[in-house]
Amino acid sequence: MTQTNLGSTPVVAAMRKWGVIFLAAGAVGLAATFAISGQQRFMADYLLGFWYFAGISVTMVFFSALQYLTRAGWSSAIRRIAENFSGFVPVIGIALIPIVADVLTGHGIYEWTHESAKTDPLLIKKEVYLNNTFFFVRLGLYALLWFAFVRYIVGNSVKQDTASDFRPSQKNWKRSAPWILLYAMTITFASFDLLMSLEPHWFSTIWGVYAFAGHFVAAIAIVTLATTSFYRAGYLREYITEEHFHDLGKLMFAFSVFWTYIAFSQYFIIWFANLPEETIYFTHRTQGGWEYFGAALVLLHFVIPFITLLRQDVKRKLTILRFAAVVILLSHFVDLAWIIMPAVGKVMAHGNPDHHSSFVFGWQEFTGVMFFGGVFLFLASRLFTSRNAVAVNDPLLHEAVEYTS
Amino acid sequence: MSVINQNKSVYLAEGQELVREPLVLGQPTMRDITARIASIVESKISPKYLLTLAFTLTMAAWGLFALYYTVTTGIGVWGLNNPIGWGWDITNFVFWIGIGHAGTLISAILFLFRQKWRTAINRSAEAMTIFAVICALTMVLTHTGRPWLFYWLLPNPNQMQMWINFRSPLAWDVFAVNTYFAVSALFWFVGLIPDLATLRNYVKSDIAKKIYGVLSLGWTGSTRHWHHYEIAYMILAGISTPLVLSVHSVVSFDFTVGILPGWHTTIFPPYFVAGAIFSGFGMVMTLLVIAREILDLKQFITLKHLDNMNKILLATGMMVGYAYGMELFIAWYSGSDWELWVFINRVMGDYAWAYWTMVLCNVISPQVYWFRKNRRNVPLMFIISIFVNIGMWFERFTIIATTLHHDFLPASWGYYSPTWVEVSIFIGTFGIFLSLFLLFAKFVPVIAIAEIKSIMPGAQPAHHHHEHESAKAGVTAH
Repeated sequence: MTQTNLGSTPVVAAMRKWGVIFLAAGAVGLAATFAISGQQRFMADYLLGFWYFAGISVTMVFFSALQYLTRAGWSSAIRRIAENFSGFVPVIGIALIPIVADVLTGHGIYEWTHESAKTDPLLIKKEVYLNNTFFFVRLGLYALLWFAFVRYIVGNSVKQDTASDFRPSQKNWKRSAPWILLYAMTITFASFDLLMSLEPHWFSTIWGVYAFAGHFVAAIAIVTLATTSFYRAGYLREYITEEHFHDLGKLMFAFSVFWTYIAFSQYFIIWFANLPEETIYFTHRTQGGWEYFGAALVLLHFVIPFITLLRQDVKRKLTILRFAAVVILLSHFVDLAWIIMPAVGKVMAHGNPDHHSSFVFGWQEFTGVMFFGGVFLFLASRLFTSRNAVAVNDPLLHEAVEYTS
Repeated sequence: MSVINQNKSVYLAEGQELVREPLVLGQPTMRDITARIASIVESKISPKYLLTLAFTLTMAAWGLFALYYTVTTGIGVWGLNNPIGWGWDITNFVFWIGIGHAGTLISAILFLFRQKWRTAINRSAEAMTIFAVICALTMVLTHTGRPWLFYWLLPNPNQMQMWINFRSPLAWDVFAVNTYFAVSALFWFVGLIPDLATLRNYVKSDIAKKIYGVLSLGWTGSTRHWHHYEIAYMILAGISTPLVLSVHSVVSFDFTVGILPGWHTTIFPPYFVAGAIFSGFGMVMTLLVIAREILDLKQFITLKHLDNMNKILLATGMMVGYAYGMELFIAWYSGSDWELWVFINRVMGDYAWAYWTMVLCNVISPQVYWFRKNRRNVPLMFIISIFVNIGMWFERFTIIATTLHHDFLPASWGYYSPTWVEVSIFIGTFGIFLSLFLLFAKFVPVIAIAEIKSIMPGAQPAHHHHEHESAKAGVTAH
């Protein structure tokens, strides 16, 4: 009988250890950022780290729900690995508190919460939506709904491990569709609220899809890294086969292209039409140092994963697969930094005499992701300790073990 | 222990073994499958078939007459005038291009996702893709006004080295649609080769044998042939997958790269793609519900297949619903007066009836598919599929008409209604589409014989695990 609880393995021990180290180092770094660079810079970095890992965690639950919705057989051997990375979801509510506090200070990162917004003709129009109270209510709602989401889907999945019938799985088969609908709406509006409203004059209808595409491919990359780590260390060999790596590779390939498609659609339509109220977003992000981020995105989020993962055989070579996963995770960071930092740079520049926004990127920008990366890893390590790493009693597990991709 | 919940798509058979609903009913042998599908080609042409074909050909002829009248008299015979320069022509073009997308999704994306149920419907859906693109090309050529000068759209410089305007989305359309047509036709034909060879061996008439023989390109079914075939099929699926997304994205650029409120919005590319798949599945459903009845294909196109297709209809219907919602929300959130005004006008203005027809058909009507009972109700799904066809046509009409009929100069505001000529051309494209489909259903295997065989138990290695249990329960595993 293969070991299915990996809590005592070196892989999970490393996850726990590095989780704690990152968490501590990130916390110190964030504190230093606050002390040295001020509240707005601190908050931007906090948001960067928060959204990176909160988005990925919720998307892990979505990934699980999607497998139930499609009655997928192949993924039942790796689905629990994704589910165990959702440990951060229940504490999202707590992690949102600093964002609320930042808004309440009146000089936070969101321009529409400032005193000056009261005289801005466009922001006055949007006040029905962009006001403190409603903003807090929405944030609370996301945290609550995501908590219910993870409780239901992942809860049933875990219950199946010890159940004597298939009722928990049947529940998920039945209810995954409405939960996915809810995920689509919450991830869309959360991305509007947390990211798009950083530049409250700007708007894009594709924004929710863009947020989803980035999180989904990043989530697959983390599942790939974890799965290959366990496999390499000699665990789960009875459940995970080369076929799973091949399929994870295909998904990473497909969804890095999907992200590119969405990102290109947004950029191209705005660039071509050349309307000032829309192009301002990209004008700002293609000068003053930010153009390198844009170029890096093309390379990291599209060209490198595309070239690396195109061939059939490389999706079965773990080193290359893991390289692509790391590149995708890096590109997701570049993407979010490119969205958040220029916007906050503008807000920070309001104090400057020339009102000219400066390039804000330095060591500080790594503190937030480090902190939340630590939280994410640590909470995952706890779930890998308390739960199985494979859905041992899943009704479709036999398909996952014997399929060929 | 008895079999419980056998009417679920995944259910427990005897001995707590979980099995999937069978995709082919009645446990036919390989020979049965060949005989069943090939006999459609071999059977005598019935008077009913000829009558139907005569009817659809008459529709096509009527459309071609209207087209002739347009060309000889001038495009003024249409209802187009300032400010509405795009009417039924572009609506129909986008409508037909969209119809094709289900075929490509089924043949390419569902293939890559290893959705075995696609094998029963991919052949006819792919055929529909090709016929729909033919209709779309007819519409867009007519729309140019002087279709005999179509080559002005090709990147073919004249003697003064003047090229087409590569910055025009209309030029991109030419590339996108032609690529789509070429790749779809190739994909369809490659998939057909083994089945054409089967027909070559099956039919009795010498002439038919010759024709199928030439078309099957000397296929013998050797291992080497299969090996090459499968590689080609995989590569074509890989090439077709981005095409599903790119073609309708390029079509959406016709609208978005302009700066008109209601047209210029970033969600259009994925929104158009979702809508195209939605409308395509609507049309596939309409035709397959009829075809499985008339050709008696219920053994292969089971309720399970229809259930799955209805799930896709529900999912893609929700996606277009999401896009409608985002458009409205951002129109308000943008703070742009024009943007908001156009959307209020769309929802409550002169064309509100078209908008609400669209919402009713595309977003509300598929909601019945939340329930499994409805997803397997054949008369209901036929009605809903008609709703979807209507709704998706109105979606394109709404987008085009509501933005154009009230432009920036209130003095020139107008209201557009089509003339009999435009209606006739549209009916004509349906005639072309249905005639081609009828010919296809008679002379080509409507179901991919070789692919159906590949999903039969025992056709693939490593399936020994459940044979015992499923045999006991009288159902097919996987």
